[in-house]
Amino acid sequence: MAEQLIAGIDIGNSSTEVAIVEVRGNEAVFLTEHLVPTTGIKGTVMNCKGVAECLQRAMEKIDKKIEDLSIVRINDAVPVIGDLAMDVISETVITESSMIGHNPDTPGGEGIGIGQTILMEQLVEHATEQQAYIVVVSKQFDYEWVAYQFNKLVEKGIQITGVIVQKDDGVLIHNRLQVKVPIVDEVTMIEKVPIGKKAAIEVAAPGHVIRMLSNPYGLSTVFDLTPYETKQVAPVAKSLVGNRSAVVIRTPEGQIKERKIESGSVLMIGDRSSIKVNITDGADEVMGTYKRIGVLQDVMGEQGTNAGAMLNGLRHNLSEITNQRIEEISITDLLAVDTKIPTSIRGALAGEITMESGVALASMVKTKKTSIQTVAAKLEALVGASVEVGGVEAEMAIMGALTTPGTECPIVILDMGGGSTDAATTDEKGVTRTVHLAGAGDMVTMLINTELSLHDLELAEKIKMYPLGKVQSLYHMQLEDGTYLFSEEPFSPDAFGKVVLREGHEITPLPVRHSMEEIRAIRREAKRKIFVTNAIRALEQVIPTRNIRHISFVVMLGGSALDFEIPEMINDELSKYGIVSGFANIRGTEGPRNAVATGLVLSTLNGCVSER
Amino acid sequence: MKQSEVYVPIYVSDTVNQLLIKEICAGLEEEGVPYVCKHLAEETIRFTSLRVTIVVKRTNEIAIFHEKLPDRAYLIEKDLNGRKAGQNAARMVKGQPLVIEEE
Repeated sequence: MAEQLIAGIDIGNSSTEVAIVEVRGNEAVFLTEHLVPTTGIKGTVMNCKGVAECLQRAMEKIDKKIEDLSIVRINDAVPVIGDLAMDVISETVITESSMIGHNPDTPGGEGIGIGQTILMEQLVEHATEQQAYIVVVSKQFDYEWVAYQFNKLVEKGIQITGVIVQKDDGVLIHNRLQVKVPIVDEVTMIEKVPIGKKAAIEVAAPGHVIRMLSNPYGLSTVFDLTPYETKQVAPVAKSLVGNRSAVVIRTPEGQIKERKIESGSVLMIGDRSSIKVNITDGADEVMGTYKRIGVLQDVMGEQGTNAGAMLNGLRHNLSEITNQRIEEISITDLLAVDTKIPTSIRGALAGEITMESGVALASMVKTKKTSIQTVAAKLEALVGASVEVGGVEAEMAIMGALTTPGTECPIVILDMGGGSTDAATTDEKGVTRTVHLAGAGDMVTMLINTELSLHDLELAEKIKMYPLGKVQSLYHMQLEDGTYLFSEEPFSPDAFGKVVLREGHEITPLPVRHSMEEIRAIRREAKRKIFVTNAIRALEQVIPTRNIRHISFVVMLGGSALDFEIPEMINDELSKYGIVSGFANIRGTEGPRNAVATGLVLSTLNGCVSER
Repeated sequence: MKQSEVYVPIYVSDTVNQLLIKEICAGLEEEGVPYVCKHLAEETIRFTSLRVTIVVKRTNEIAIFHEKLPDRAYLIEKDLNGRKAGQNAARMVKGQPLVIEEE
């Protein structure tokens, strides 16, 4: 029998993979494989472009043309699709009152000052000896002149207790003062500081954080507040915690309140019961409720609340993607994760942000049977080889996973992709069980993007993928584990002193002020919250006894199994249940990639062998 | 090099604008790093124990050198922003991120 070239193609949520095999009689040799990003939504004709490109590239690698292919097998994509949403569930609003809480690199002096705010312009003429002043200095004034005027006035008996400066002049003014006072500088929006009001300024010593203004009772001491007013002012103290310098200005008509947004509730409809759960109770409560209702049929958000808006948004997106009417969309899985969302404080003066609590939701819907036959027909026309639709995706994945050395049936696979976390198992009789859960790599990226307020998904994706370093001198940087890395060439000035991403030899400085430890913690926490939670959920659902202790081996697949820390996190967690887990090594060479594509070509082979 | 030399030397030629020098000094002072101005014509350029040296030639181009990279300037400040140059020299001493594109 003549030799045949067979291509197996796996169209996933985020990547399209191909494996090409040459069959000679009973012998099959894997020639090459390739991976490209999936074009369009999985299971639609949009995919054909990516598939054709992927085939083209793969065939180029082995010096062949697409026309040489005898059969192209594509997977019958699972008809589920996921989407993400995220929103805050608390909000700090400061109205008709003002605060500045920020961390200029170099504030001046230290200590606390209390006085009435006055503009530099008015100080010389209007200041009286009966009043203590906090002077507001806009950028038109030179530090020498300001210090000269202050020294002259203080000699005359005027009390200056603190200074708020627009430019980065804090230390310069401080060094020239005869009577030292705390100075907060780099206040860009200085024109917004209320004048003629009682204010307090605090600058902490280097390496310390403020203590008085970040404590509600400190504020009540400074401003003589009643218990009721102290309660009102508490959000100000809360948002100043951790700063090196701060200013609080009391405006008597001020109303300060922390109001909870109507975050609303979600109604989870299961086959056993339906339970309403309040989103503010947190992700744990939501996920706990989920377990109690049996098999999830749908989720409804309370109308007119954040929860409702989030779920409606999801439904809307999903109906657009799948071309189904909104009423037909029913959510088959939901993952809720607690998060901290940096939000600018309404009523703050220098664009201060506070970490509000928020919730991120990933959901999964069943779509109508994907029109994979249409995709196959279109593809056939495009590549000119005969295209057939292969078996069930999960079975193909298991078949591929079993090419990992050291595995055997029965096997449990955990496929961690970009859009979903899937698990599948087969028992000795060959019966396959599968689950598809919402929340995977893309959700990790979303959490990183939000918690670091990057507004750059591409960068967030990179932070997810690569380890960090901190450049400490021209020639060396410290790595996450505390070890040092030396460079032969000096690091570029834009990376000097910064936290950088290390992609092989390339380094990318990060445009954030967080420390390496903070970024690392956010990255790892996002991965843990999503993948460890989902691994347990998926295994619980896929094992017939519902007890994951009955599993002995788990093989991890998919793009996220390539991650440098996710497999070890899952391994750590699963070892508590006595499970051996690790990422696959498809065909002993491919790592956790290419399982489905490999399974697709292997399944034809089995067919051939049995025919003969 | 004497151990007691804990400052950033600023080598300046006599045609350099005095206001520019004042701004460079202000940049260093604001960051809390000591400095000493020196005459470019009268002294040879050296490094001190802080390992960073500033050189301002006639062109009013501010060059910041590091002892570990003596052959070329690590940073060159061309837009005559003395404050920024002083700040960056100080930040190089302290190992803090430099001010690169602001303003």
